Amino acid sequence: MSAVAGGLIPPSRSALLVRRADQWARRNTTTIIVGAILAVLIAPPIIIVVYSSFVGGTNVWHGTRTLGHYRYVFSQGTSLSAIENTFVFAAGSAMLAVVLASLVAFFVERTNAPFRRFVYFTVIVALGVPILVEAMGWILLLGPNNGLINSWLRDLFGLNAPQINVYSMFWMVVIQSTITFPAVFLLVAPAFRLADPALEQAAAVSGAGRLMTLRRVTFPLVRPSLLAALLLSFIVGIESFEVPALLGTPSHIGVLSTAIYREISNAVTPDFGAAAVYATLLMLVTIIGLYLYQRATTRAHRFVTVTGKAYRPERIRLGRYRWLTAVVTLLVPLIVLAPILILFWSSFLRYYAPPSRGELKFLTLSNYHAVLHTPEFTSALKNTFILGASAALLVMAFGLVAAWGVLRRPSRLSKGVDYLGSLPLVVPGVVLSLAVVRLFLNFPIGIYDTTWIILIALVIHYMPWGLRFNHAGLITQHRELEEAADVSGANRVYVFFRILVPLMRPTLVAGGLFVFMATLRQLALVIFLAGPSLNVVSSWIWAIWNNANLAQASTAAMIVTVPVLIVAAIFYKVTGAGGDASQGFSAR
Amino acid sequence: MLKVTGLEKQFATRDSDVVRALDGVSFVVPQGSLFTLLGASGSGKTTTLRSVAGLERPESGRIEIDDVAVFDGSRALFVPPNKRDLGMVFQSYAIWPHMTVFENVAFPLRVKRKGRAEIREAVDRTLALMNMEHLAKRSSSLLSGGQQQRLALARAIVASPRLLLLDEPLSNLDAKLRERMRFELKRLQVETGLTTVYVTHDQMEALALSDEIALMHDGRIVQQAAPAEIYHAPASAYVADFIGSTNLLRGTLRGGDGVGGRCVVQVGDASISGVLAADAPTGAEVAVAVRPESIAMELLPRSEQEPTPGALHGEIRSSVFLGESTDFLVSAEALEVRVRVSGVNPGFAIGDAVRLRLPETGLVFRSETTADQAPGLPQTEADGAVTDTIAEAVL
Repeated sequence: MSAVAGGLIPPSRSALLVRRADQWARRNTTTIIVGAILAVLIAPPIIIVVYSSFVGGTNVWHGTRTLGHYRYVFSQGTSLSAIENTFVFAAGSAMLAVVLASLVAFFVERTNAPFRRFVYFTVIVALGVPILVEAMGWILLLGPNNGLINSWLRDLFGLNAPQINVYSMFWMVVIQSTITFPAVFLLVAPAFRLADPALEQAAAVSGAGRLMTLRRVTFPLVRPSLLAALLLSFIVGIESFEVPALLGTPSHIGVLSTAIYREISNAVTPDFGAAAVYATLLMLVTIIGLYLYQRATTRAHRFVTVTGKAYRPERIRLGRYRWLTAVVTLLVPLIVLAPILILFWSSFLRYYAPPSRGELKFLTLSNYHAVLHTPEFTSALKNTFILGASAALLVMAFGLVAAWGVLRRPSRLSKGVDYLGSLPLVVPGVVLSLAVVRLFLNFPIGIYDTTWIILIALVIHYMPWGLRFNHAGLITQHRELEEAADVSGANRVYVFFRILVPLMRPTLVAGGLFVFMATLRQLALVIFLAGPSLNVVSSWIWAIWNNANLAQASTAAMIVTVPVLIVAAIFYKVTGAGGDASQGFSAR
Repeated sequence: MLKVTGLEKQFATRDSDVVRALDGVSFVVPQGSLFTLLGASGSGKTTTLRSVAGLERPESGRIEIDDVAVFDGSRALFVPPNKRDLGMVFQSYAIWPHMTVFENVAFPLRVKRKGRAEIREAVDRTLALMNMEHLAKRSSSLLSGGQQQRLALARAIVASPRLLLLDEPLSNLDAKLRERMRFELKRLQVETGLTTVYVTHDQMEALALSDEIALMHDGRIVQQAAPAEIYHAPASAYVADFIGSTNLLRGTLRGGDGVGGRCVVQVGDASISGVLAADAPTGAEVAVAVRPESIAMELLPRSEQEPTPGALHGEIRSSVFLGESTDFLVSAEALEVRVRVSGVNPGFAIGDAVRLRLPETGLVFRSETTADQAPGLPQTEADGAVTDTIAEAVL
């Protein structure tokens, strides 16, 4: 320590400036480093994908500027219908999901309906299953020829029986809503649970009857939460890739996300310009949706009294109608689980046939044997786990440092880093996949077609979650716990590893598991990044499903679903089932 | 020794106003003494302490510990907290829950890379000093409030810091324990001889513990003195009001012998003698500070309606039983006067007509210094509760 001798000669102005800048840099070292990494990681792909929608030619670095792609896209009838389809699909599935979820949430949280625990169980299981797998399952259930339900209908009503056409907008909406359902449920259930019971008791004391109280107090109180859930599932619908790709493509029902895929993968020469236009449109819609969502949640938070006090709202006793409500609490979860069950069945058959007693004798483990001895699959499995674990580690590490900057060293800089890290929220998986390809395809450093490119995409995509988890965890840690270590004489690195990380361990574990689990389910994000030489499980399943190898696809789906479910179980054990679930929304 | 000179710090509020959190704070804490920063919340006492610790960065001013500057605004000098060699007890105690009691105390020594045996010896000695050697192996998340407090203290002193900083260390304890810990703290400070800065909003704590008290208000030190002096000779109406409960009786100055001398104040119809604490011209609006326990109250016989010289006549409005004494709120001459009568059975009832004899030593202040306060309304939380009770009783 420099003993300042009396302070007789005041230091020069420039020396003061240098000293101040030095102190500022010391104070914000970690934020500066993480900010720089995130800026290099996140900003370029997003900028490049928007920019490339204005550039002609395949090489984004040497193209001419043009509006031609926009002119081309808007002259196509298919693109206008894609925009319309996107809205219908997203709005329809969002509304259906919220109606279903709030109905179930009401019965589970506020009545003594049976099977309440079962609902939570299925919701958590369903959250762990890859969406691609669920969509495949629905095709097995509702497919026009071999679909289980259609064959039942034929058995019941003969050959002229009404047939369900799963390859239609109506069924796309229904299926998407069952896929969004678990997350929406976890989002709205706390609103029903956490409402201060005194508010309802006050209404009752004022002379309002049960129904009156429900109508005038209970539902108005949860309405903002429902609106927030509606907007978020709308965004999820807009970004959804798997369901439109599997169910919409055969009957030419295109949405924006599949339009991007079509321009890149199905064309003879990929049209990056048109794809970038679709991507830009998709981001615009997402930005609007997210903006509305943010406004809605601020309002929702004003209503839901989260005081940390464990409210125990009164349950409505349903009396003799109690068992009737099982229709809701049993049927909805079964519908959500149905596609997984049928895939489970399918994975034990060499040649698929709908479940029946006659088929039981054909059950075999040979598919599992075959899949586990396919080198492409095992290497894809290894890649998936390594990538998922690395992404989880990096995301939580960056997230912790960035969140620490925001909360402990608040400044414009740390706020900027926070915004930067949250930016990927507006970039749907397919768009990010395209953006990363576009950036690195002609990049001077050859990292295209390596695992690095997938890791970069995963880290970018899950960065907002790393921030949110760490922010939520750190905000509950009293800052004096760190200050006590500062005053005790510990330097920042020491405080970070000896105090902060141990204190944040539950958050880091929960967030890491969440990200890991989500990466295992990810298809849209890797769709353009994975290839024959570099596969992850979801892209491998996608490829063999497109080759009509149903048996192996469903077997592989089961093999990846089981570890995901185990991780999901640990995750909810760590976080307390449903407790922190609103954080873990949209595990995609 | 700690020397703080001219600390200034501003905070921007949400409506982009600027609040002067510290407005030229200066004081010196001699080696080995216990110095208290006393004040209401928002007075700047905690900001001052955190600036000394290096957890807060003032805009200007100078802080020296043992004649070495750790902060100097004019030279952009700032020594980070981990290089200041301090011990600090936080309001929340900040006990690390992932460590045992022993590890918590050992932390400052481990940071300094002391040897294993030395750490063991120092921690054991400190825990013994705090009477908690039997808890060494316990997980620190299993401690009671009082034990946590003692653990925080042990951690703060184990490395023999140059300065011990205490940020409202007793405020999270219940009343009984707080009183006991007060003695404990004092004993410890005397035994270790550590130069200590103590922050509190509790005037009783400050009076009981301190060698010297600095009362802060709006980012400034309004009076700095030894406990007895600050109690008996407050420098302003604000201080008089803050330290102990005080009646501030408003009136007009009728003349006197200048500052420090006798004067007469017209309060309603009555004339009251007092000591002029600050210069004021005859005819000025003043307030007489009178402690409730120094007013003598007696029943007024029905026959005696003539005004008594130097006394106030009034009627008892309400009473609050405090155990060893009883507080009465008396309305007299459009004033509300609080009177404390000691003894279990004071012999007064609500509605009684009474005569209040005021001491001739009440300090007289210029009234504008108390413009923002209603007379007799005490500022401390504990006293606030009493007034609230009285107010409720009146209603």
